[in-house]
Amino acid sequence: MPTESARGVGAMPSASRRTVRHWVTVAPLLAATLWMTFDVTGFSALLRTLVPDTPTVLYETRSLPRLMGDQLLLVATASALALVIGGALGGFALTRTGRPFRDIIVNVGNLAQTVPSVAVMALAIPLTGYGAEPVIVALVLYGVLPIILNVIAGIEGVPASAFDAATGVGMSPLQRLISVELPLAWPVILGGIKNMLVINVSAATLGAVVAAGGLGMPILAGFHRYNNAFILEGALPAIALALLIDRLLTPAAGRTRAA
Amino acid sequence: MTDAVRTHAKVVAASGSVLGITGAFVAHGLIFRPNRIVNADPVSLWSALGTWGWVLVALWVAAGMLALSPLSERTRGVLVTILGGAAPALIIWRCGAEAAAYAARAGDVARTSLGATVWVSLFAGYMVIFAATAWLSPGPLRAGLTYAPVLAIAALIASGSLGELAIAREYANNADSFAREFRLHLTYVAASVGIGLVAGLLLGLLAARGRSLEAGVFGVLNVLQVLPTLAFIGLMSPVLASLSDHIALFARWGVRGVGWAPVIIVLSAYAVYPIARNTHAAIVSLDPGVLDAAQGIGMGKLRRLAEIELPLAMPVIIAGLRIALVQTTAGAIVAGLVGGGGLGTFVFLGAGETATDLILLGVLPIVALALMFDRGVLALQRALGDRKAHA
Repeated sequence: MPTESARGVGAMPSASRRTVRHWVTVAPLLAATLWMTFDVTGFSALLRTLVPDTPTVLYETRSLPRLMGDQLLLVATASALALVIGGALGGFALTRTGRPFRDIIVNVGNLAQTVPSVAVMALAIPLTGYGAEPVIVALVLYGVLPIILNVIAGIEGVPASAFDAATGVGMSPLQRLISVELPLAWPVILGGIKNMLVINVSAATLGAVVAAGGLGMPILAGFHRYNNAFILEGALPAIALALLIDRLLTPAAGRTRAA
Repeated sequence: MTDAVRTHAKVVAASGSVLGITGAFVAHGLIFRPNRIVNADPVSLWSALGTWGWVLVALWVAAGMLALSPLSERTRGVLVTILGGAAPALIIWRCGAEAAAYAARAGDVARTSLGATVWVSLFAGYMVIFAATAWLSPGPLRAGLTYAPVLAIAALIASGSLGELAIAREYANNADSFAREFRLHLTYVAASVGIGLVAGLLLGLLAARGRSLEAGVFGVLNVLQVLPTLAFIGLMSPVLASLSDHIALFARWGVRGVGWAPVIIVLSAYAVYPIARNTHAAIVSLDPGVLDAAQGIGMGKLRRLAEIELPLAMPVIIAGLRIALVQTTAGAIVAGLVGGGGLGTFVFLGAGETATDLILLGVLPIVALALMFDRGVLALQRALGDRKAHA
């Protein structure tokens, strides 16, 4: 895992300036994603400029709003499931019963990086058939890892002093979790959610391999038919979407990159 | 090693053996097919292995009971590790034998595939060994016992006794192309990680020279890191196609919109980040006193970098290299989608015809390579004296 460097606190901008700077990067990405998805005439004019010698610039089988819809549905469904499962497993690893499994959960989480997500999709086909299901299986498995690792890292990173203070003022374990531990661990957990979403947007693009639709569909069709316009039709919105999610969930100054 | 960790290991080892016992009785242990296409006929390992099923269950039960026993830690560690490795090795050996027996009965077109519970059993063995090695101190004994089952399975593969399993048949049918795609896959990994290492070192050192350089370098690298793989390759494809149309040299090198060129560019771009990040982190956290001392004895900047800074930063840089290697080995699978070949070829061919064994012919070597790189570089890290390097 990339190690976090020490950062000085010298020129910390004020909270409001940070908010402004945050939205200045997010707004254009949001606009670009929406424009490419919905403005058929404008976006196809751009594709025609970029790839002048192609007769058809837009993939005919499925329209961009539908492809983007597929993509978002895959990412949202899988991420919601992964958040619940990952949160539960991460939480379990921190309880007294789950404590023995903490090390092996973290270890398996790291070793799982050796299996490519698209391979999981392919291997799930005999169980799930083609379509969205194998992609959701793979995205959930991959999404669970950053959540578990960051829930564990976040809660374990809560300073002992805060923990003791909360116990000292007579909080119950549940109260302590909700009003002290989770808020303090939140930046790290949010980092995990961001990693999960970014990984899932990328992996969902590969879902086209198992006929799940999504923005990978025109990209693959473009590679098969040597049509660069199709490739860009899928690639540009997918890139805009990934950057949008990344920037949206990156706090402007407090950089939390836990995994 | 705390007492808590040693007690925890009992729970994990016992859970692993329960998982192994359960796995032996659930269907999808072995899948027999009269030919490659016809519907499957899955049976549990228990019914597939006959008398050996008893041995398998006995091994798991013994592993679980000994894990919970009050034996001395060392004895318990040795015995449970051996049992936890013996069970999966037994399963693989007997599955190979059952496949051969079925092929003898049902003819050459018959196929025997490993079912889901075989993989679950391998995982159960991993759990038992992972837990039991906590009772052993690091050293050749622990390493030998941990890797013995891996060697046993490798020996079974080499001896040809698994030759009638469907995955081995897929290999036999594709032996020539397998060797070619395997080499190509390794070439992608070596080239991309090589480029990523050089670029990552330079960019990491550059970023360590000042705050604005740091913001610039990591601003760009963060963006590259976020790009979806297939979209990134798609973005490079028209650019490379047009470069090779306009510049004769690129065309002569075989740069095209598809194939090796976009694959290596994209994989290298991803590989830069962990190396640059770790180089930067290691260099900025060096003790200023050591650097002052180096300057004090009259070392020039370049000499100080080569003789002091890089050697001190090396364990952390190598940790970054390890991430890059594992990530690239898995990531190179996409080359198979964009005309670049590699082991992904088998995965995507298999996905097209729902041939699980063909998919595995691509996936298993990828996972094995990635694990080997991971363990190999970890050993290197430890050899360089980074005791804290963790699995």
